[in-house]
Amino acid sequence: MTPKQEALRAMTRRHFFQSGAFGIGSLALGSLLDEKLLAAPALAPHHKPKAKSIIFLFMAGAPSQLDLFDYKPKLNQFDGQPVPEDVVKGERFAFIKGTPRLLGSPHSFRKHGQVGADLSHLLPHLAGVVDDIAIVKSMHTTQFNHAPAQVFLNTCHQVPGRPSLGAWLSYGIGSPNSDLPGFVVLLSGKNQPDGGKSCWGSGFLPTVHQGVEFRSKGDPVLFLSNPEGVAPETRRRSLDLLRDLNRSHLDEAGDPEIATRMASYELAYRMQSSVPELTDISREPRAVHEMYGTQPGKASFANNCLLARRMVERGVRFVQLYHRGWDTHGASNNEDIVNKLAALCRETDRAAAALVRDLKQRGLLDSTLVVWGGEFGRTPMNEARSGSKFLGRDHHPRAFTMWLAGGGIKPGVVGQTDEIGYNVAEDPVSVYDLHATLLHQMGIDHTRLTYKFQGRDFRLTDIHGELVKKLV
Amino acid sequence: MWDIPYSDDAWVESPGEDRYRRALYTFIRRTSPYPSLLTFDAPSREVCTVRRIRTNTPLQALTTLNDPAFFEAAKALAKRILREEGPETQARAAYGFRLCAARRPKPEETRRIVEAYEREREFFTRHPEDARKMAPDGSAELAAWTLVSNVLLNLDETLTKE
Repeated sequence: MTPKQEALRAMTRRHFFQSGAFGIGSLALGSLLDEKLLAAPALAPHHKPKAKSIIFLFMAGAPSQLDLFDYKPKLNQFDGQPVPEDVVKGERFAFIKGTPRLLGSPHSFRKHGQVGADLSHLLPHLAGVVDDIAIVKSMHTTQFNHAPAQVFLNTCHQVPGRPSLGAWLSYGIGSPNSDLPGFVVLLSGKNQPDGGKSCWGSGFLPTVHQGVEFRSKGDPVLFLSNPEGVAPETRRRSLDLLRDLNRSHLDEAGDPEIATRMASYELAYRMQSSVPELTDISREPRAVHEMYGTQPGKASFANNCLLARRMVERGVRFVQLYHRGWDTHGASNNEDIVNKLAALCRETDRAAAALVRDLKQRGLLDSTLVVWGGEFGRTPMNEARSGSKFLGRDHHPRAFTMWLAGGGIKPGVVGQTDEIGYNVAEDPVSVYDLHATLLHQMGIDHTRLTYKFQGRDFRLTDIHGELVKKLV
Repeated sequence: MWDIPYSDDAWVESPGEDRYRRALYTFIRRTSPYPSLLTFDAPSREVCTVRRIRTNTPLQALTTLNDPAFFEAAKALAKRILREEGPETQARAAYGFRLCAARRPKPEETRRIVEAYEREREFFTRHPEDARKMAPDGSAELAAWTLVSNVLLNLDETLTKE
């Protein structure tokens, strides 16, 4: 067999159609190998963007809105009473069995800022920036278990396999910094989010758009240094060889994933110099460390917040932080709404507020949209699993709270829940609506950013989503 | 590798032949998984995984280029090319390529590999200190083949089952 025949035999039918009929691979190569890797804004913006970047503080596990934002005096008044039957008739809960009892918040609330927003004493730092944030009390979702709800909140679909918000942004508007990934994920807290990597996956979009996860401990990115004896110029020449050989294969096979891999190698090369500079927070002034509560070298939500600011300064489009552990059922004293919730607030409140304050001081808050929230809310009733004496709340998809700041978002309070916080009473905001609004602030019409897959045009918000006018 | 609060266990690199066993035999500690496997999206093992998603990130590129485990493979491949193939550069280039991609290179591919090899050999002749770091005997030839092997092992065709 000649080399040519051998190569042909190695080609599958799928490749033939990909390269023969459409030639997607070769087309994609043109844009992917551009020096400004992901910077080609071919699809969007559709209108003038208000925000250039998003920092999404994902509180995985679902924080209790009723103990942080959504103050319900009625719950305290009727604490311990069985929940009215008509409210929970036909409801399914993740853990609650029988007729649960209402649970007033054990935490005290005060009004803050010009709009007089309720905040519990667990969020003293957020209270200091309350006039810069929009609190949305009327979020609701369709999922009541962690993994599907997290995947849904990130991709607008509860089953893994759809592109996440960050992937859509990378696909739609690219990233202005060609030396860093356009979508970075930073993890802190107990462990990985339940939804796993699908939360920042690229679904059916080319994998070049998926989130790149930095390690939170030790080196943020492994193997940034060349092996002993490989000088920077040697590495450059070897990557040139790699590129030429891969290109020859791409021309024949036409699989766009080959183009993605080629782009990954070029980005990896540039990250070898851009990442060490980015992640060295030790040279930040002392005042900054005090504001965030950061300690260089320690794995923490605070360090990740500071890193997020440094990434946004360098043009990273979408930074997503995950802090896991908010799942306060009250089955033990280590996961209740008294101690555990307070501990989580101590881990996150100061840095999240510092991030808003820091961005504002640097004039970056106008162009950076900060989002805070989890995958669903928690029940107005005490879970009391197996008669547990510790206070805790079950999963609650019908009403929860998120907050947004900057990027053209109008500060204030949006939405209301009923008097026990069970259902949304005013201005409901669905997960689709949230994403339509986030995309809008980034200059994207959520109905027009589409990708053809399996015979139809897909979009992030599927067939749903309304812009939340009160937020913009 | 491990920095764990629960015990004094340390990660010990396997000596001798065990060092080259398949990753299947890597000890998995759920609280501190093996980093390279994580980069390639190994599941956390906390829940079952129905489907592994398709991924392709620059972190994976850095791993297969620079992780000592992968670079050691490039050194071994270079030695094998020198040991098993005749002295002719072209034949060596074709042999190395075929070992990785499971097909013969096209003439232009061979030409490109040979050209790169000759440039690197010339570079390592001028920089013997770099060559010594890659080849114990300081051979510019072995160092240059190591670099070429590193590239061959990173080809999309080598890494991806199409």
